[in-house]
Amino acid sequence: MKKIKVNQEICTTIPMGSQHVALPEPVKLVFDTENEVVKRVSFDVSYVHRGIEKSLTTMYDFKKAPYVVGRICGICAIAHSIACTVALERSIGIDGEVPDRVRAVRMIGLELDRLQSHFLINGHLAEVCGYENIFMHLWRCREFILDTADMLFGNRVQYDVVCVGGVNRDIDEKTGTRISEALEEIEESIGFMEEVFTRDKTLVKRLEGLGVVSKDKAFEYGLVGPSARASGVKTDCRIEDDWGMYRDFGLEIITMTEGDALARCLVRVLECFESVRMIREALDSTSPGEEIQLRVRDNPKKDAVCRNEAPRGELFYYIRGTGKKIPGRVKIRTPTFANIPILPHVMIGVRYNDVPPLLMSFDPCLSCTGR
Amino acid sequence: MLKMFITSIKNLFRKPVTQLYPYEKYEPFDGYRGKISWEKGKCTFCMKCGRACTSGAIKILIYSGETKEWVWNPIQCIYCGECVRSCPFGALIQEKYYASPITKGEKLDWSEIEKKAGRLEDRWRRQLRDRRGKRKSE
Amino acid sequence: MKIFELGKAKSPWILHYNTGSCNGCDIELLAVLTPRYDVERFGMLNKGNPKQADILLITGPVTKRCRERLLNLYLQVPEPKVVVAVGTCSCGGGVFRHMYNVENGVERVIPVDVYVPGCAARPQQIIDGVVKALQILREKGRALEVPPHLKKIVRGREGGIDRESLLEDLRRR
Repeated sequence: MKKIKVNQEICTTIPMGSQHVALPEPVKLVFDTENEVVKRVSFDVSYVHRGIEKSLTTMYDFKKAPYVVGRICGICAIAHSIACTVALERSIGIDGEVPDRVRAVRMIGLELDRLQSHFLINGHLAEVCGYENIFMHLWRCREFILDTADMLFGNRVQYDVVCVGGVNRDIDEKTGTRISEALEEIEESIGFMEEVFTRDKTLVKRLEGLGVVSKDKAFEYGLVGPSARASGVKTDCRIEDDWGMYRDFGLEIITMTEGDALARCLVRVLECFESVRMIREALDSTSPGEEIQLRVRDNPKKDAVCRNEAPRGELFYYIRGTGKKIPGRVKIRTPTFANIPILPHVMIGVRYNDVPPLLMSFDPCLSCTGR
Repeated sequence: MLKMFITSIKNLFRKPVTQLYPYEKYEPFDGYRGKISWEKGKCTFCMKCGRACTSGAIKILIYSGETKEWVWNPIQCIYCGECVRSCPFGALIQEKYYASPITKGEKLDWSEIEKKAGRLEDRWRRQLRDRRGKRKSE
Repeated sequence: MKIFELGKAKSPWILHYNTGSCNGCDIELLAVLTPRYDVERFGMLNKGNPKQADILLITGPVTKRCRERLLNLYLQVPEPKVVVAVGTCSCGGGVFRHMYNVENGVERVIPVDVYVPGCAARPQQIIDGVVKALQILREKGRALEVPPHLKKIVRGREGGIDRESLLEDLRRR
């Protein structure tokens, strides 16, 4: 800790380095504080850069791309796979022929991913506030969701189920009934999470009024995902760029007006209820036994774009096809990359012990950012 | 406040959730993507699995026309199942049991095997081209 | 020092570092500490301090920026220590092998004792790997102790020993 001068005041520099017991990812934050009030923050996100975009244009052909791209982030793995696959299908030109059963299975995978991600971040936020007990309870409830994914797709974390032209596995009737029973238990856990975040007095007082982002600022900085919806901006990529059947099932966009950390948590809780409803509708809409994979004979020819709603916001993929087996350029823009510029402005004037809950309420996924 | 007390007393009589793993055996679900097993009788060494593998964990070493070897590295594999789907003869199966950890002495030297496989494959393709060229000219 | 040996074997403390992985294996590592696969029954705690750690759990293919920090952490951990490489990425690079910012795996930077495969590594696989690491830790601890034919010499000297007298004693035997 050394003392430096910032704007004619003497500050103490505190680094929170790449290895820390509370950080599961390597990121370096440097705070300049005076009397425990933060005056300046600087970020360093480049510890996780591996060079994936370049390798997709030199080493891997387009049929292996969904499996490689799923390893950018382990928490939102299937969101990346689906976005890449839909962009490749639009570039080849078979986008309109994808059958309904394929869309339904892809939707079920995405909504299961969203459920387990929201349980994860809410539990981590409670642990950082000091409540280790709630962390253990919410992660115990999360295990039911991972068991469901294990039954359906074959792995708890990386469901390698999406491929260009369809999906690899189908859901038969016996598994379908087992999932419907598991969904009722999951709804009870979501009810428990809602009770904790609305009625627990200490947690509500700790998170209320922390890091307020107004609607104009959210527009100006271009926030995405639940952080933007908690400030009143009505945006959701599942309705704007619909590769599935979300508009037919009538998805509701949930917004709140306050824009503080508590509102962001509550938006995530209420989204979980909607996800469970979407899974039920997708299971009932089509029946097993239909066609699940199209034959792909051409190579990607045109430019194509896909916008998908990952658990943290809008995920954007651009693929340029050249007629060969390897695409010419792949560009990925992840949701946390759009949410980072507002953090230095929100953190100034906050006490130093309030910084971890504030950082976790924006849901940063740094391995997506530094791909 | 009253609800907290009721929940605490109920928790005294509930069974623990913990699965005592090494002492109780764990049976995976059907359809779990575990380790790959190879059947020698059905394989014709067409090299399709080697080309389809995403992370390069399958290498096929062809020393001459008769001695051929198929190598799978369990610590390089990502268990995606692409090789199983690409084999036209059904020689690869994905079991439901996961691979167990290994120590330093049991590990394969993978960079050596990659270089050897690259050299042997170039030599084999040249031999095939020469054979086809000879047959066309006959 | 039997009591220290017993302490290390019955309650080893962990140091966890992520060198650029996708977070799948790290989330499964955190899930090992939750009630369902409770690893605190073996006495393990996740403290972030390298001076108090016995087992190093490393995930991720080592990116070029994390290489020095990893070496720094490894040199700060006191002997005896065990290094466990969790997940396919840290064993040999995984999907990221031969990408431009990646050293292929942890073994090119520090010596590794146990390799745990999987993408992402299941909690059951991690517990298997840690149990193997505990056996290796016990053997390493025993190899560090003073061998018995030197113990009598070391204990019986007043004012300590120096190198000349020790070598003379060994030559006499």
